[in-house]
Amino acid sequence: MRAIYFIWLRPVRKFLRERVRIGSSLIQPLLFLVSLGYGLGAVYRDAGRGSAVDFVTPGILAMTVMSSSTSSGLELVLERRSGFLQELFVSPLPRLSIMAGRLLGSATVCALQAILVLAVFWIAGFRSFSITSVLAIMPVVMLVSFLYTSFGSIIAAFQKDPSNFEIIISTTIAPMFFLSGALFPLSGVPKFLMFLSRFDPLTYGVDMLRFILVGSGFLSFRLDCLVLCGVAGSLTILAAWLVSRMEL
Amino acid sequence: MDNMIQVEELRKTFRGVIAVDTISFQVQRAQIFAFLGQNGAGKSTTLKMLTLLLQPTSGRIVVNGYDPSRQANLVRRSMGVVFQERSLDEHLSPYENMELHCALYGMTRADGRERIHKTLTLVDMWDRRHGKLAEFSVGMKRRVEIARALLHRPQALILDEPTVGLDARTRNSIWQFLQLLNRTEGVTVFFTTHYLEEAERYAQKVVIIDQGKVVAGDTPAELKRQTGSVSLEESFLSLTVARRSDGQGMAR
Repeated sequence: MRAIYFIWLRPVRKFLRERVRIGSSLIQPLLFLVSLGYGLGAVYRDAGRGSAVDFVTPGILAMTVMSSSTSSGLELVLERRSGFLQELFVSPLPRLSIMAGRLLGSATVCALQAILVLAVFWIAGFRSFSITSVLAIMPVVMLVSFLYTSFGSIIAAFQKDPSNFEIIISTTIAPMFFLSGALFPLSGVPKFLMFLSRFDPLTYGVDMLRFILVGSGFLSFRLDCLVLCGVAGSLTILAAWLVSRMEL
Repeated sequence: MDNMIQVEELRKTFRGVIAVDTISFQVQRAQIFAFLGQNGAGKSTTLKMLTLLLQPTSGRIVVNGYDPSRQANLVRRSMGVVFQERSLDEHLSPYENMELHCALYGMTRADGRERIHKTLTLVDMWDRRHGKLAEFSVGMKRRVEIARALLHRPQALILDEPTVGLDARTRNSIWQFLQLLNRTEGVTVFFTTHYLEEAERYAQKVVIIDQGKVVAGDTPAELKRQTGSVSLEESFLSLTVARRSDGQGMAR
């Protein structure tokens, strides 16, 4: 357990020490909030859809967690290159424990980022949530983080080149983000988009966050829960298996 | 004298390409052993198989009397590894890197603290234990890496190019330290290097690998005698170049 604790602690320490990273992790969410939340606010209101800020905030939160989690896969690629991964892999600690520490570390960083984003959004005017709802979204944040950390790790298990890794990640997560209903309501989209969005695990994460933070979900909460747990669980097992077989 | 490392008929292929071709050698306990070869000769692949980062295609390795296929963790605890690549986490201090290593090897908090103090003092880095690694010189980082590899009291130290990129003074101080460790604590030192004068000066036994095969293995003095050379470098060149001109190279 002590070893898992130290592996968990690494990304947390890194995040808290890199003020630039803390700052930059807030820029993109703020940009989305200003452009979509405020920029399109009038369009939302006129269409009778309520507050755009309320609508996009859960989506922006999901995007933040997704980006941060997949970047932990990039760290795996970079650590393989730098030699740090060798230090971990020559030790007697089982690779499954290494993976567990990484997943928990990444999820903790995501939870910290989510709190920071919500704090900044609160200052910017999004005040539909309470302390209880912030606590309630943490399990969802952790699940989304497990899912995308595992997804990044699966890509990292096959891809040794950091630039190729980034290309693969950006071409896969961008469609997932746009299809998830993070930025627009899925209720009014054409059938094929609706169909595709059902295969996007982020759809269920965004829906759960929206349900908890602003009290309006598109799908059933139980379905969100089942799909997110199922996909996160399957990808975590696959990632752990692949990392445990990784040759350096 | 019994063997610390025993390699028998070890072979590794990558998609049909032979990287290591049925090699055998022994490293005695408390010996300083140099594993030499040109780039691409198969040194790193062999080292990765020894440290259990790669599975051999066939053959057998025994480390400290343990069989990696059944006693992998005992093999891992028997070795301290210093990689050619800088493997410290630069976002952490030297002390934090050492703490992580202690946890990875299941050491208790108290034992870890004592060993960190001892090994960092040995390499003269205790005063810099909370420093920023990004501001350290290559030599300082190397000393921290060697100290870290010694934390869990390994019987063998495996060093991949331990002095690459270091100035002569730092190289010398690292070797003084490794010799002291070998003499006083009986630690087996297995190293690879491209600095053949280091192998000649410090190694008690040398094995030369070329195109995946062991082409020679003896003391530096005996290798020089066998090849009629005045230096180990000359022996190395004659052994590796001669093999290639004999047309014994492998198809790759």
